[in-house]
Amino acid sequence: MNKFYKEYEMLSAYVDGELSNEEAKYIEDKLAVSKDLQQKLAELRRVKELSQSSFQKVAESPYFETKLISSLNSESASGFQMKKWIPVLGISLTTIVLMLFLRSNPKFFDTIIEEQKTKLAGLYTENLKPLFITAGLTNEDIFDFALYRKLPLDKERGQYLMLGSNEDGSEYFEIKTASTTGNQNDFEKFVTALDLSEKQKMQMDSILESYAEGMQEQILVNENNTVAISPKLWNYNKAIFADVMAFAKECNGEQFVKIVPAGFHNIDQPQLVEIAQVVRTAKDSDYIFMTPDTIFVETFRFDKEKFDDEMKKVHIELKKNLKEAEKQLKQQDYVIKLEDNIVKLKSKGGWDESFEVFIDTNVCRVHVPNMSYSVPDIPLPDLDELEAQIEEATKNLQSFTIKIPKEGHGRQHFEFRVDVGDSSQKFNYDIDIPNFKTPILPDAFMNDSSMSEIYGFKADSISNMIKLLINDSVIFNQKDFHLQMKEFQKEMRKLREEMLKLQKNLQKEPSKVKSDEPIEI
Amino acid sequence: MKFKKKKVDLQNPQIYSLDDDFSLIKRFIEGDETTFRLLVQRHKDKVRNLTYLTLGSTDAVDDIAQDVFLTVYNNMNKFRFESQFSTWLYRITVNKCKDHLRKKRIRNIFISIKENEQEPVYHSSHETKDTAEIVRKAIQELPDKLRIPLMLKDLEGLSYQEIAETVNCEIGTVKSRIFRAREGLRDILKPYEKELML
Repeated sequence: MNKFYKEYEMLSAYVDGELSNEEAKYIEDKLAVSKDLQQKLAELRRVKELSQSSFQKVAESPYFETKLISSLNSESASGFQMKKWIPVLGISLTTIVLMLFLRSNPKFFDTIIEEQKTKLAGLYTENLKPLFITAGLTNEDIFDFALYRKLPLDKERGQYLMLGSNEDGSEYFEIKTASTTGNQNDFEKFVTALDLSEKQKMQMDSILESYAEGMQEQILVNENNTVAISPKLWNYNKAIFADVMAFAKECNGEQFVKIVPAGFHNIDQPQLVEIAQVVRTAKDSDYIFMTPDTIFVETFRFDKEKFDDEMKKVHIELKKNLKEAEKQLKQQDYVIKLEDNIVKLKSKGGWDESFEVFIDTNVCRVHVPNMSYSVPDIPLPDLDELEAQIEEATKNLQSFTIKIPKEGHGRQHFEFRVDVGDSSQKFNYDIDIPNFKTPILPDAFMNDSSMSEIYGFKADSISNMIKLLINDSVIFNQKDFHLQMKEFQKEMRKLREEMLKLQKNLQKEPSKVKSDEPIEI
Repeated sequence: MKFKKKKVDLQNPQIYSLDDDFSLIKRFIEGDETTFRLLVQRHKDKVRNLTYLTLGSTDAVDDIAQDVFLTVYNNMNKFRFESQFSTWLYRITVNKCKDHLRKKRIRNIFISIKENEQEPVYHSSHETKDTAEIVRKAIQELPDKLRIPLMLKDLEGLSYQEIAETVNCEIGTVKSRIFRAREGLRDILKPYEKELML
């Protein structure tokens, strides 16, 4: 900034009277000797005069104050209104923002829910293993499942899984606790009614066994009391039923028509093969999880290869060390307390909204929501009618009955009855067995594989039949029973010898024998 | 013996009359809203005139002046009693005017693009015969930062200190800007130097 500019600036301030005394003195001294500054001062004063003289007041506004007060009143009124509506506006704005956000992210909540469900599902899906191993599911069970849509979950506690469908076609399953299932040895009756040959019986067994492995994966359990049920069970039910019926028709068409209701006679073999193929190869991996806390649907892939490997290891161990292997086998086999689940679910009542769940004392019925599994279209007959017809067809087939007396001392009365068609023949024997006790077989016996192996029984319809024939008021004692059986066998050998002697005597003296009177031994 | 009289700068006690600005403001803050009307009556002309001079037209004077007093009404409790009420009022007015001019310039940019507007009207100012109008138009051609301090000084009679507080700058800057405004005004009025006796 040059000196002149500074002095001119001071002159401008001098014109305005804004200089201090010292500055005024300084500039006055300069003005006294500088014509240039004097000229500049005159110019600045003239400009200031022009500027001031140009001033023109703006026209008065008569309503200025009135307008202003009015504006103030309306502003304060609107301010009051705003304060009043601030909470509502806040909620409205939040709602609008949320709506816009959800509109642009429609799956926001679904994602959160799915994430949480996945975390929760992770807890329940750990270590899931099949409830049934092949040996645990008899052909009788599979046959009953096909016909009556029931599967034994826990035979000891009498718990069964029952499949059902409503009138509208929707499916449900229920877990029932029942002392008796109502249908006994129907597989045996069915096979007998069809009059199958040994080879055909083996083929029938083979058909049922072929489904056993696939059935394994349909019900999984773990130590957290979780039961995972695959919706494919419904498909298996229909496929097995169709397969059994088709084979029955093929073996003995004439008898099949008699025992199976009309409408199911024209089963199409190629269609059946296709259905069975679809059911066995279906990759749908949704399971219905029933836990102590909730019921939900979740995708779960059962690693069968891993499970098979584990089972193989167990079998290898079994050969090496029987006791150790038994422990491992127990680890593979969980004890599921379904009644706990039902009690907890009943009290908590929390499950997936898509399920309709009804819980009673002994029953928990779960209506299955529409899921993406496909059910083969098989026209199923009325199973109650079928059951009645099988019963009717096999009514006359009961061939051999043994009546064993209760406990006692000395001579005991045994009755053997043979039924053939309409005729019946009885054989009565009094056998002397010291300290005799009836070998009653309680439920545990039926499901105890070691017991059944010892006595040669299988836990199926035959053992059930025996169970029914024996009075259950007698206490079973395994050791005593073993001894008694040996004694019984001795007595039977004696009886056989006596019978042979008797036969010889009869050939000699036929008129002395009456078959319907007790034979003295 | 001559005693040198010691000069003592005693600050005079502030005694407010019932109708001075500070008293009215205090009463207003205490809840007497009727005093606001008195303040408006007292200062409305200054505000309207300053607005008119700053804008160079009467178009939005009342709207801006109303807005200024609404702002004062809503912010009265923020007044710190450190400067004149009029200074505070001028500062608000100047800021409102600057905002208005800034928005108007932005609007003009778009209008110019849209309508391919011709040169501004004030270039034909030399054709005007009225001296006062010539000067007013010349003042309008000055940039805001020079024009406003000049007007506050020449037309409103504010001190440099008050102008500095109003436009929020240093006194030296005010002094410089007023000088530059006068130099600029002289240059603009050069075509009329004979008529105006410059």
